[in-house]
Amino acid sequence: MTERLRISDLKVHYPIRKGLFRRVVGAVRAVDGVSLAIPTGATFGLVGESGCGKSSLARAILQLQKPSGGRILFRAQGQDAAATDLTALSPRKLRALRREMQIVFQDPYAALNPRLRVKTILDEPLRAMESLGGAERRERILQSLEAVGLTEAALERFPHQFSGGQRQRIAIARALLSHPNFIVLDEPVSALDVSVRAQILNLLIHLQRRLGLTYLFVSHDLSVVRYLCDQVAIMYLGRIVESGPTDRIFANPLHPYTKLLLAAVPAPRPRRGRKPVRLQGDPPSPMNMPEGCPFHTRCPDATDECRTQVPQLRELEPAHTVSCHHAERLAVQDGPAGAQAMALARATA
Amino acid sequence: MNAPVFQMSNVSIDIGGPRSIMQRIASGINLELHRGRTLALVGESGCGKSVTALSAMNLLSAPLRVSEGSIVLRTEDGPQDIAGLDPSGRQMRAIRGRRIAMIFQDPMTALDPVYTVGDQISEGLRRHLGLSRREAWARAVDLLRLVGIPAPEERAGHYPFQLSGGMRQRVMIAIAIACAPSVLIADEPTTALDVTVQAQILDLLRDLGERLGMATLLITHDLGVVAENADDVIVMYRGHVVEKAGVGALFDNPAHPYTRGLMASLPPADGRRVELTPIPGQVPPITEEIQGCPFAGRCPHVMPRCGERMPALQNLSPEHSVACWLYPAVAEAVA
Repeated sequence: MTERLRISDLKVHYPIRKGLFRRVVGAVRAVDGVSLAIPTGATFGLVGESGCGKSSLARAILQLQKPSGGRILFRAQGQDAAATDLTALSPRKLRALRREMQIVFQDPYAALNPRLRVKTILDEPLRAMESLGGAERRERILQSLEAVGLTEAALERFPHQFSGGQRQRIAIARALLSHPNFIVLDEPVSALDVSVRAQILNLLIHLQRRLGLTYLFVSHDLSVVRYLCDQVAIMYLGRIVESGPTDRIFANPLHPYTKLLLAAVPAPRPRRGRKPVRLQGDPPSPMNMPEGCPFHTRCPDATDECRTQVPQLRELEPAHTVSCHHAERLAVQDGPAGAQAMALARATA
Repeated sequence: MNAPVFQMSNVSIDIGGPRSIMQRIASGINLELHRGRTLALVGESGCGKSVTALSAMNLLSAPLRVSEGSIVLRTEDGPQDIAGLDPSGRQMRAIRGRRIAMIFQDPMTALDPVYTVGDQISEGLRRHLGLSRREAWARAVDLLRLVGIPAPEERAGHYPFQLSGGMRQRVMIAIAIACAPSVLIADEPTTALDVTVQAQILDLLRDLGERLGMATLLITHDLGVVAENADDVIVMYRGHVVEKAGVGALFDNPAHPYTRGLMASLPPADGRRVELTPIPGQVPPITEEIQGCPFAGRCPHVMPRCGERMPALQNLSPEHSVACWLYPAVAEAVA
């Protein structure tokens, strides 16, 4: 399987300036050395809580935010051998590549200009990206609208005349205009009601099958991630703490943070009486990162080693990596499922 | 079961004023809250959840108003219909915050940015319970401790911007429970929070409700939150209660097509990749006049009579009722 995208050791640091001369006194390490690979045609889920750096990472991939370090290798359409390093491209070349990668934002109310008609909202980016005549542009716009289940009637209307779900369809139509092969979906269904959310999820799946799209799906909603994604990475304080195939992550979470995150999701079936272990406290500020493992301040199983040594990502099951010093020991504590993983880990080691 | 501490009977809410057309945005709402129990009010945006919550606090202001029905609060002084009270009158102000308290969705807009959280918790204690400044402050610190804020003595002197989202919501809860109200209304209390913090806050609310014997009205759009935190559930759609049941009965045996549609819209819990069955279309806008059942336009089982008249809530079992013509035997029997 080819990879659409490979990121290595990506960093996004925002400087903290203070005083009269705006001296740089520190940095918010929003993304701190992230590596991941997304196979062509797959949906890769990026999960984490507010402030974990998932949106910074998504924006850095699209070069909407300049990364402070690392490489982003993107394989463009019809390019088989070498992928392009986006961080090393000239602005002109980057611009040409941009039509192949698009983004859909969380809030369809904020992402569409309220003063413009839908036809202008869709026509402007098309003018900027492609040199097409008026009739061809109109043809493209109608194709895009049709792909998201809207009709020509939408063109003359303003965003406020649509419901939240329809607005998100317009935002998706806009992302499809330039025939991209990679789309970043930054919490695309978080602002939507349940019944409409299901419509949009179905739409995203159909579009992916029909157009062979690769998705990076950024979300905090684990039930949606589980449903939609082939692979998942869990982020905490700018780092990936666990990643692997979706079914393995949910069946056998190895990092204490992943386990607590999964336990916190309210399941839509009553289960009174059983009270799962809760994650205590709030995440530390990325301006002032703890030493050692970033999770040790909230981890129920932290030891002295965790307070001083930064754990590296290790592969404990095929394609399933975790950055925890004690993953094997904790897996044994968790019972049979964990022990199996442990045995597997030994076998592969 | 004892008499409910709080009871809304046949409440309708209208919008409109002297110079515009009156429109009914919620009608015939019946709900009861019992000590130590949680009733969840669930539905999507625009279904009337929040106006129902505001009416329970008598906080509706023009052009919204309660046009029918009674909202009865039972205290040691006997029952009182608060729908008849002047919303900004002395009597209502003595009830609000003292007997009925509310937690809002977004703690950043609900808290006052220019007062310390200690001051904001103290305000109700001084006004309602007549505590001195010093006593109120000490009690505020205790309350912060009760809602699980570390170093409460220090935190009481902090302003809202110095706290994280989860801590702000804990402060809101501390303010709400300060005067030991008998009714707590929580309007989407965890929607703005991360899932791990949401779990902490919901655990706290449930624990406090049971310990202090409060009756809780939990308003949410999240069926997962309902399943884990409610004893009883009311499902609303476009201003109507369409189904009412104990939490077990609702999830085991959803009866209304809207409730079933909501559940079919959720990704399966076991991670299977079956295609979701969303409810087609969307909630009709509030400005649209609807004859009959408001769900008829999206319902897979729609029948001619659905367009004629809204069915009344009918009992399927003692703890389960539904408003739908699909259950004609029960419906006819009462009609």
